Amino acid sequence: MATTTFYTKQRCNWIEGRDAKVDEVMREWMHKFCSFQDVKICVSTFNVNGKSPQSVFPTWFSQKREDIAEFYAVGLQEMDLSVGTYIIDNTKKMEGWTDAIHCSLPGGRTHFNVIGSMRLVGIFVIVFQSVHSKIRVTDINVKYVATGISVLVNKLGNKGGTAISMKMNDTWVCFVNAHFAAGNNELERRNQDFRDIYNDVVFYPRSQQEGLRDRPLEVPVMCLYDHDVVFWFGDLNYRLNTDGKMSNEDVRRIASSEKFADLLQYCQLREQMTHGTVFKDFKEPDSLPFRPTYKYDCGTNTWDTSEKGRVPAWTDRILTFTKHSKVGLELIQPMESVETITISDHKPVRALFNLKVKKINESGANSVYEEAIREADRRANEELPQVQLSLNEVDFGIVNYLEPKTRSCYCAKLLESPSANNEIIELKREKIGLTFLALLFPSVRFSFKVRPNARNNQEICEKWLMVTPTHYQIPQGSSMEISLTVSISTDIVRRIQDVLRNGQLQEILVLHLENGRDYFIPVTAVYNNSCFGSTLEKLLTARPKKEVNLIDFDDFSDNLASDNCPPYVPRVVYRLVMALRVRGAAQLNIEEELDNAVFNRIRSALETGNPDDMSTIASSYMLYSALIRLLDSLDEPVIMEGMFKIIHKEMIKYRTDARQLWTTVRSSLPKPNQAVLELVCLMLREFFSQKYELRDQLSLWAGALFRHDITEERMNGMYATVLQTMCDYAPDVALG
Amino acid sequence: MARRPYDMLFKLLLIGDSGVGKTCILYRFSDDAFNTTFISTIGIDFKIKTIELKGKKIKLQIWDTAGQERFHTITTSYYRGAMGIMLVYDITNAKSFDNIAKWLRNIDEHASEDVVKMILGNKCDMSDRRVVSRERGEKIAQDHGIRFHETSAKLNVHVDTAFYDLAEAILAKMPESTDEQSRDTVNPVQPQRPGSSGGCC
Repeated sequence: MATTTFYTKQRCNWIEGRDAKVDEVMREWMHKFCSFQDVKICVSTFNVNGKSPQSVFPTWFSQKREDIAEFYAVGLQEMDLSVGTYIIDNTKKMEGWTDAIHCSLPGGRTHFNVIGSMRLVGIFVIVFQSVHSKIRVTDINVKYVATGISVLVNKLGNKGGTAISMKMNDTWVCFVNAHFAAGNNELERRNQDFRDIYNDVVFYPRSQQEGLRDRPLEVPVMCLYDHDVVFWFGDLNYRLNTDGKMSNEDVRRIASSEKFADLLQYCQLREQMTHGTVFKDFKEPDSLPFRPTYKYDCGTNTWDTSEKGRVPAWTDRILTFTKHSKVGLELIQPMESVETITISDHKPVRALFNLKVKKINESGANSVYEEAIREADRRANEELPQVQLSLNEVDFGIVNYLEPKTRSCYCAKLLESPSANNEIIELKREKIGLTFLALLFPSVRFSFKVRPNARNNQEICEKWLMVTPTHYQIPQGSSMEISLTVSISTDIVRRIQDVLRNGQLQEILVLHLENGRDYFIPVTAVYNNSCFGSTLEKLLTARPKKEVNLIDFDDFSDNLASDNCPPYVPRVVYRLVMALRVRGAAQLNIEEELDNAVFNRIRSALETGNPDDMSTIASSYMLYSALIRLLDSLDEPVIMEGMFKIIHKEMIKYRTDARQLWTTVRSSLPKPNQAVLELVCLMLREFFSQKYELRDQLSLWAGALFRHDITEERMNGMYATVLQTMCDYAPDVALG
Repeated sequence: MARRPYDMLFKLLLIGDSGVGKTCILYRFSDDAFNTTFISTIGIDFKIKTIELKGKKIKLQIWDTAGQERFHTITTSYYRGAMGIMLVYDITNAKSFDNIAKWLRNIDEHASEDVVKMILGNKCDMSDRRVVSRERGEKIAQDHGIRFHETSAKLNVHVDTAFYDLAEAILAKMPESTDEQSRDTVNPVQPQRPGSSGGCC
């Protein structure tokens, strides 16, 4: 083909297969640069049972003028059953059959040329073109795949497929003739034969076969699915699943009757195609308007009377595949079998198709190519998923200890038309007071990404924040509520001490859309650490804000109980301890359930100083656990580990020696820590004397005061002993 | 698929201070559109545009980043897969120009070593409000051995030139054999290592 260079600079021309998006646009625009020509193609398959042909089969192909096709593709199976064929390539049978088919074509052999053939033992495929045809056939290529019995590394060609690939003008067409494994119970073998042939039928460009590299890039390897059209025919050997449902006699009776079509529902091939196991994307007419083509007594039209008495089946089939919906392939006559041909135990099957063969106007294609690329880019950009988030930033404001706060962010996909979006915004705004859009278009998948450069490498965010769901496929037509919760527990308070700058918590979530962009969602919260999650020093300096209460004069008093709070003991600790002591151990029920609402009341009372006297606002147990939480949430444990755990080690060493323990406390702990420890010990001592079984709580207190590694069980007991000793002997007693 | 897709994919990144016009430059190049409304980019977005260079079709995947300071630690993590980086400042905003040194340090720290850099002085249509002279822009680019253009996304000045120039520089760095190699199909999601996305190193 002569190529003219229109451009001064080197340009890229359109070659299908480079870019799926561009190809899609080019296909849609095919009318701009392609002309189409109707071409009739007749396909026939025939298992000839090893028989030698008659010189001509006048009924094989329709001789009616309007039925005459431009191309005939014929697939034979069992063309040669002689043992010798497996070893010595014997072409005699092939020549005989080629002649017979050639002569059987309408108008006889002078009207058609053989344009390609391929044989694998008895599996033979041949394509003829009318001498009057104006279609330019190029790039003819052949291939066989053997799937039969394995002999050493090779497989015998008793089963397998032969294929011819060609370009008719600019339409790629492939003819595959196959013979699958026989036998009622060999369904899986047949499926495997299909897969093997489907995968192995690959055509290499002629130029590469010949070692030439003149067009190395322009004709890539062609797989079956790279063809515009594939005709797949042959003795596929799929049987009827009538076992246990009806007898062979019944099948034969129905197969011979007008109601033969009822049997198709039992066809294994139909069943396998429905399951998507084989021939995916291939088509066959819904109904087969001919009787099963197998198995007959040779020379007759009677069902197999041999000993085996085969159940009739549609073993001989013609299926088609088109690369995309724009390929114009049409079955123009009902598929039929030729019952008048009786030399074999099978009947031939034939089908007449019309194919719109395209011719690309190359300069036309190249001139729209640039535009197609731009269009493909435009579509690619348009298809990138975009969502609308109801909140671009999430600010939780002040968050309190053990009081989780939740915010919802709605994630929805943007609609294509902005006006539709607006309506939905209005609709939803009324409903929930938040702006968000509903997703109506294809679903989009989002996931929160592990934050790049995050301190914690595995998580999508810091521990204080919880996000649900972390990934989700937003289905078509809906939006998704993402809930963000800030929850500050003791564990988290300790963890975030170093990130808490003025109580400010900051995080940036990265919401990633599959195949699309990332959204950043900054999340902020201010942790109120006026009480829980603070330090003893801060608690000491913080004086509760006194609310001037002008209405309730009775309460207007400067003489608060907590004014007796010893120096170095934070008021909040003192108030809790005093309240507990006032109520006494008798009221302390450690079986009680924790009530979060009550805890929040206690926390608020501690923070505001109102009421000062805590003894009336909650049960003993709630006060008791609030005190433990308060000490547990301190930045540092009351009994600090000190350098190289010296203090802890000392205390373990002297765990039964109260005098040494208190000496250690006095010499190594800061005043506030000493004071708090003494106060707690005093309280516990009182409680133990009132209620002996409360001693079981020692290890819990030891945990809060020492914060040793609780996974070390041996140590648990030791710390509890330390505390017990200190409770049993108050410092004044111990130190004499 | 036995087919070889031979399109080349270059991943480019736009960085620079908030409000210098990164998103506008991208929209001008990809959609040939301009919008005066300023919407801060909160995240990482990208567009695709196929260009032709030296007889090759090259798909540019251009990533637009959030310029706001608070996102810097996150956005730098996207540098790694970039083959070319456009560092944008605003000729009417001295601060955005002063920050160029900082952005260049960011690139050195986080981008791959052979990334091709380019400095763009955007909004060159607003000559009455210019505070950074063209010479100063050229000078800093020269000092660092980087390409430089003054652009206007609004009037479409030198936007295409800049992208083609950057792509050409990347192409020039690639070994000759690249177009023979099979390459990954376009995957816009995962930041790709330069080595795997284009065989550029």
